[in-house]
Amino acid sequence: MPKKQNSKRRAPERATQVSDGKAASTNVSNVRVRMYRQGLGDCFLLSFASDSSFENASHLLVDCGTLGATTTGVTMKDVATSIAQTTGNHLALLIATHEHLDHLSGFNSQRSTFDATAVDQSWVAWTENPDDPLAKKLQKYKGDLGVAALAASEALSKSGTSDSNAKAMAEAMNEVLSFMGEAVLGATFAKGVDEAMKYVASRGSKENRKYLKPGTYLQPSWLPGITVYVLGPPYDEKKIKNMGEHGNPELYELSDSSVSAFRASARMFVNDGTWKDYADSLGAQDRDQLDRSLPFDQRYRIQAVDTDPRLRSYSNAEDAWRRVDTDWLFSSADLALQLDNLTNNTSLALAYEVGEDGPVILMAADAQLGNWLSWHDYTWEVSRANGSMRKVQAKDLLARTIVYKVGHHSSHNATAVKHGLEMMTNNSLVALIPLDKKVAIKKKWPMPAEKLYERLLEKTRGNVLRSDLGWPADSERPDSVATAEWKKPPSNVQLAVEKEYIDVTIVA
Amino acid sequence: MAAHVKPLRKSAHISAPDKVSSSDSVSQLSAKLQTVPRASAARATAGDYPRPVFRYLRGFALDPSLRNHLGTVPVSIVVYKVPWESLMPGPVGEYLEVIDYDPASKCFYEPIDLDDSRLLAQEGYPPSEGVPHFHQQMVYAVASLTIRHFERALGRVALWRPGPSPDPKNEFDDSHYVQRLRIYPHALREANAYYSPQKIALLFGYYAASDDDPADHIPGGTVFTCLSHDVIAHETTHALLDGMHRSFTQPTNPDMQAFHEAFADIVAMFQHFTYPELVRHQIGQTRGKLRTHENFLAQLATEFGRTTGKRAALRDAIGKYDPETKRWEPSVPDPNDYETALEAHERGAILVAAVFDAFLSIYENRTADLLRVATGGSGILPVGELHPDFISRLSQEVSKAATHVLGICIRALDYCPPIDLTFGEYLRALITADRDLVEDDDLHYRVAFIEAFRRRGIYPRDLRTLSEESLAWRGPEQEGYFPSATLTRGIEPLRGYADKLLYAKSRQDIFVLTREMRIAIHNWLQTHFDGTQSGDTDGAYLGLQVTPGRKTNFEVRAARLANRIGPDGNMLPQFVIELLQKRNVAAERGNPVWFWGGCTIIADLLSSEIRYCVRKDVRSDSRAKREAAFHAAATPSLRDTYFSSVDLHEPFALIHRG
Repeated sequence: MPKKQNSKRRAPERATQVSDGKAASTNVSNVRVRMYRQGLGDCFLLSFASDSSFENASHLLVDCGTLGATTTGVTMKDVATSIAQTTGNHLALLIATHEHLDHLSGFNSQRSTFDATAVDQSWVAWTENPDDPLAKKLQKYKGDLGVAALAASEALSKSGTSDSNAKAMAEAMNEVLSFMGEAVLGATFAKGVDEAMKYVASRGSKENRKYLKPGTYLQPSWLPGITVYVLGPPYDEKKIKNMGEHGNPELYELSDSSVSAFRASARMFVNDGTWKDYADSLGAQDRDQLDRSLPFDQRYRIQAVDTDPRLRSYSNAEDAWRRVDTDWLFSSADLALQLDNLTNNTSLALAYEVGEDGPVILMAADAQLGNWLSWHDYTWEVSRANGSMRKVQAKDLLARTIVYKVGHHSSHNATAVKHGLEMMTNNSLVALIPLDKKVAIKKKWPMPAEKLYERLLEKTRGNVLRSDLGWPADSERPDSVATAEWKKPPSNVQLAVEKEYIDVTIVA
Repeated sequence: MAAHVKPLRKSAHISAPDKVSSSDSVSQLSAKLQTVPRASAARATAGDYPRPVFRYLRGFALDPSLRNHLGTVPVSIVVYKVPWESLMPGPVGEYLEVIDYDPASKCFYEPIDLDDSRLLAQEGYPPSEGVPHFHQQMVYAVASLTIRHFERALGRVALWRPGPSPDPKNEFDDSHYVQRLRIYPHALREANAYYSPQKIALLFGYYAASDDDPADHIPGGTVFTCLSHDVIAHETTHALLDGMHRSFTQPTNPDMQAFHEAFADIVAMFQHFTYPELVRHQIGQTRGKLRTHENFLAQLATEFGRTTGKRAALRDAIGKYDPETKRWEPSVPDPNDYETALEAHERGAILVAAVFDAFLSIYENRTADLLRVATGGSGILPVGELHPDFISRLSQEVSKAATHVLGICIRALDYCPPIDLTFGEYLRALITADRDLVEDDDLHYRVAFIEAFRRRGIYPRDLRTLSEESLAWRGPEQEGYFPSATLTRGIEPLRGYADKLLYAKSRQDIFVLTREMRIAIHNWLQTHFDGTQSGDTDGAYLGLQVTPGRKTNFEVRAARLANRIGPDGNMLPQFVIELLQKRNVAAERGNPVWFWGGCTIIADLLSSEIRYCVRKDVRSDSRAKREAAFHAAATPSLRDTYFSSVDLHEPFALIHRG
């Protein structure tokens, strides 16, 4: 069994070194990746130090959010307090990967703690840059999808009182949309996540705020010896919208007009009045939009009333099983899936390399396939300390990965297989899964994805640490892993499971 | 007309395409189809006027997009010749009920009355995208034609699947007769259309054309799937196939879903060849070279594909748009495709391409002499436009070949196992059905099929050679595996039902009779399995598990009459019986895992013999293992992450979505 790391708590104090770009003298040799155990959500504290005490470490926080925790009982407040204590209220760097509540909620709920923490720099993806035209376009598309999906989910909930299929669908829709915040019709869509993202970006002063683009790399002077590669999100609309290789080839991108027409219909559907009353109640612009979204001229439209003799066979109670009142709303799943996929694909995916050609920590947030595949488009030309150049590709980084933060709580669609996991060939691979299975079950999401989880257990020989449970149970050992090898930590890595967090420490 | 004459493929050279049916082998049965009363006539005609044979209805040849190009505008509108029946507003007829309820728009549209004299006098409502009446007419016309083709090929009336069980305690009660398939032309607000087995209905969607690449549409303009000939024919075929083979919606192997899609595509595609104007136009355009030149005949859903940003038709049996060269290129068959393409549409496309390839070989074979005559033997056509007479002759031949191929494909359905069909087994069914019908394959149709399937790597399991003889299902003699005399003796009493079926007055009567017959067969087999000496060996012969001393549970899924013409031109009534049984193959106690098996029996009524027994043995552990491996290998989609808890009971809705 792994030796528990001596978790030394430092008294809260201001770090002596101010990371204003002043180069530290000694290279970073020890890195600690701390996964907090606040349930179904990501919060990772990365600490970089030149010695094993981590006393003068530089701290970097990647995301802070949850959709709920039932297994560990660790609250967001506990996490924020722990971060403040560990870092001495000082973060060298704050990172928000993408606009989902399970990555950002803490920045809203624990705002006062974060306000009291000094932040030197903030990094977010180029997709959050308010001055980038493509980012603006994607933001608008996301907003449109979200509003339409929300309207549909409202319409489904309403029909759900009499229709069990619609009810199940409404519940599933609300769960997907819960990544964006409370699903309340009329409220500004995804206000909470948007605010949190802006907050994170704003913590770095203008010159210390970076909107990262893929294919670039950073060698911060305050992290000597560390190279950070920006893998994603791709600066490419098609790749960001890519639904993945398992998607149906016939699934096509929803056009703006389709989305807004769907929304107009869903809103009308929720309204109790006739279509005429509803249309009359709208302002000129909305009315015009509704009119354009309807397929035929007004003179052909007849208000559907069950007593109309022309609808006799449709209204016939015996044939109620053949009605199609809500079937059209079921396509709203497409809206929700595209929205979810799109947002996850805007994930800031970073690889931290410790020393030249050294081990890699892969933090890809919730990147979906389109994001993963795009990493292989780049070759990074990085200068060595001796002045010569080296070429680095995604496959090299994957082959050297020894800590993999498993994407999207180990759902099957956020870890590329052929161009991802199967390229992680390092013997020392350790996987971290931020997950609360009980919360996932309640939401009816299959997490962890069975096949992915099984493969992770094989590849890491049991060194898969889950935020809800810690170590895997011995009964989960795949046949291909020998008992002697099972859960044996790699020689250069220490693993420790604590109440509030799990630490993976890479030692020199 | 052609009754009691063994069909010869060559004899058909002289008939015009629209008369193709007259030489069709089952035309003697088409008279019977006519005797089935159509919709209860709201205004039945009095007097001595002759009953019309067709109702002429205008419609889009393929879809509205042909109207927008100078090259295709002359053939963009065709007049559909729909079998006559009197109709109620909707239209509502014998088989179909169009209900134009649009829930997303909170309204419905006035149903069209096609029996109104103003519409009767002018070939129906003029084609118009902006008027719902025309949409109702279009779905009715195309769906009716599809049903007609199906019935023609099978020589019997089509029945839809039974409705939900009337007995809440017994979900297997299938006594609920549903006369009409419902068609909702504007039920969905998405680029999708599907057949709903749960509602026995076709649901069509409408959507806004792509903003970036709307093809011939205004960006964001409305596109209607119910105006696409191909989409309507495709979805109607799903319903017809489901009415005949209910278990083909169970995905037990990678071919099953793909088959449903491919079959629907095949029917829709070959229906193109029944519109003479369109065929002539395309033969002229391609100079008769349908294999190597892009053409509408071999494509499906042009408008749908183009308005959803694909820049090309949704499906193409012979080629594809190459995004690199931005040109259409003919596809080259690859024997590895069948191994690697696992997604339902991709895999289905292999079957469609194989059937189309066979069809093209047949067409080329049929017209080789014409080409020689037209080119003085050189085979090289002169430059410039083809002579209109030559175009006419080629068109006739291509239409004839298409009718034959479509008939072969549909008739094969009677020879398929009741569940778990593979493409290889479909090929075997197809070859057997055709051998039984046309003994003298003078134009080498069957070789064309075998070759086309081989080129794509579609082989039946457990066959060493690919010849006509080895592919055809084997009878008891060839198998060396015989049912007991007790079992074959049980066939004779079925003759009484065959008579009753021949004289049934309505589709409902046929439905009720069929059910009675299934119950009778079940009772007979039950007694035989559980009460006689040879019960268990005959059970094994039929691919069922029969354990002496235990009650055998099984289902008689189908029983139908199929008529075959014997070698000397006489009618051979045959009976098709499908048996099903399930077995629990769960490795552990707890939730059962059901594995299905059974057989399709094809029996001769005259000789009371089992001609073929197409088995899917329920006792086969290797097949159970393959099925389990297939389920285990399924790659989940993003939808499975979030919506796996929502069971829609709509197998076709999702195939078309993500």
